[in-house]
Amino acid sequence: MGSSRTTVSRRPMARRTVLAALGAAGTALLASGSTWARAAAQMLEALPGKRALRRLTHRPPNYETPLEYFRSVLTPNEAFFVRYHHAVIPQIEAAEFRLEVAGAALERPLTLTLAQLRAEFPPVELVAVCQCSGNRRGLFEPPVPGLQWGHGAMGNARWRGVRLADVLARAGLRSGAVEIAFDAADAAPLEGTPDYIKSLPLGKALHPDTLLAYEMNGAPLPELNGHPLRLVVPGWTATYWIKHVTRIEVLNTPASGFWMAGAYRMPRAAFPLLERFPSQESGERAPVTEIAVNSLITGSEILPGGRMRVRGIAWDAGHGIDRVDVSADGGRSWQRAELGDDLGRYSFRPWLFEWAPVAAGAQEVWSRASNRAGQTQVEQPIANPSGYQHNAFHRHRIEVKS
Amino acid sequence: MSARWIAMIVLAFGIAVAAVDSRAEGEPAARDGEGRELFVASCSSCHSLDYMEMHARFGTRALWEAEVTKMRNAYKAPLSDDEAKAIVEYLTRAYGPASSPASASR
Repeated sequence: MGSSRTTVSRRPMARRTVLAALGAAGTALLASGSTWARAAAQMLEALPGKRALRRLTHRPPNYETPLEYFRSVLTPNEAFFVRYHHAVIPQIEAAEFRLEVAGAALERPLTLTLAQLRAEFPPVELVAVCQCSGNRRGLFEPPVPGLQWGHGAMGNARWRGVRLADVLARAGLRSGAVEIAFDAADAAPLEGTPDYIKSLPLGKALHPDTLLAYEMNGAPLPELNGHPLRLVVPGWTATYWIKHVTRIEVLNTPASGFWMAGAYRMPRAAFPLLERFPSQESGERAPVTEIAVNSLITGSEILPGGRMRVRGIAWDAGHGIDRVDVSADGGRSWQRAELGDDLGRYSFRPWLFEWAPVAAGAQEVWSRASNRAGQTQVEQPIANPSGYQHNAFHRHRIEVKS
Repeated sequence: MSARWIAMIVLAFGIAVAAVDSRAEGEPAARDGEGRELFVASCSSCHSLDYMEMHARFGTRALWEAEVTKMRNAYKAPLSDDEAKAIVEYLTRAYGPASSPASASR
């Protein structure tokens, strides 16, 4: 968004505390088989307002959440992952913030302050997973270019805000609207680099769970997670969850910018997506949309009597987790894990599993989640050029003492 | 005036100036090799060089050609054909699978 260039300031990135620590996340990554992940597991660094996160890149800042934070169902704001496409990051005073709602297919263009959004629209709260489309890209073999994420380009939070549908209703949608586009106050250093603009199909934009959120886990949005307002698109990957959103445009033709037409796409035939984005499908390539069903083992412990317990989380696009199965014998047999608290269909679902290992030594435990739509994690990730939607079984190494 | 300040002024005015090292504190330095200066001047104004470190273990010529092409076509990096070719050469040598990891960080 070139016109906003004068209103943004570059976040000073120099004052950071480097914390050299190899935590539980590092240990987990050691088992991942990714050479780069192995080296990078030690780079834990604290950004302003954040705890030590695993750094992928300095500028633009891309930092993932260490695995230990996924032991709580809600991911703390200070540990929530950070992902930017462009290096010019805005710092916006809440009092000065304005949201513009515009477009040809609109009856009454609007400009709203944050105070108006809070006061004039009914607040809505829900728990939802925000997960990068490329989470776990660094685990693909052969490797795929792009940010080499481990397991931590995701988080689960309680979001509070207003329904996008309510804001659009005030502005009055005209017939002929096909997509809703979102622009933010961040920018690329180079004038010619395509601005990060994403759109949603009308159905998803008007869904009552799609929010313009101003709070995360009971606090204002952190600076690096979209302060003061971001889009929350439960069930869909984070590419659509526009941070620092300043402009909503109602389109009567499909969005055609680079970030829609040229990025975040994958071979349509390879992925059985239930929620699609028809106005953006072209040829063999379709936009990434919903989050694939997935699970993660977050820890293991030895119980009295020699039994083992593993804990984890499972999540999907909001169809709802039906079951999590665990195998301690390389997939020959599977047993059902016990599901924990249900914070809503878009949330991480905790689970645990206990068993008596039959042999001592190093071994692997696998987890496999299935949802109520009949989707199940795959044994090997589905290869695709950009390394999206890695949802292979999670394999966790344990050491059983004799 | 430090390179950092120059970088911030460049950013503030939205001008692409090719002759500065725009790295912020703590960012990795570029690996040694012919073409290093052109590479740093062309690439580091928009992003830190840990993107290169991250891809070095599988940084074949084909990968670097594809990345430089993407930076020109999609991100509109203002590079001539000769400059793009020189940067691909540098990246292939300095950040290929056979290269040694960077030892320097300022």
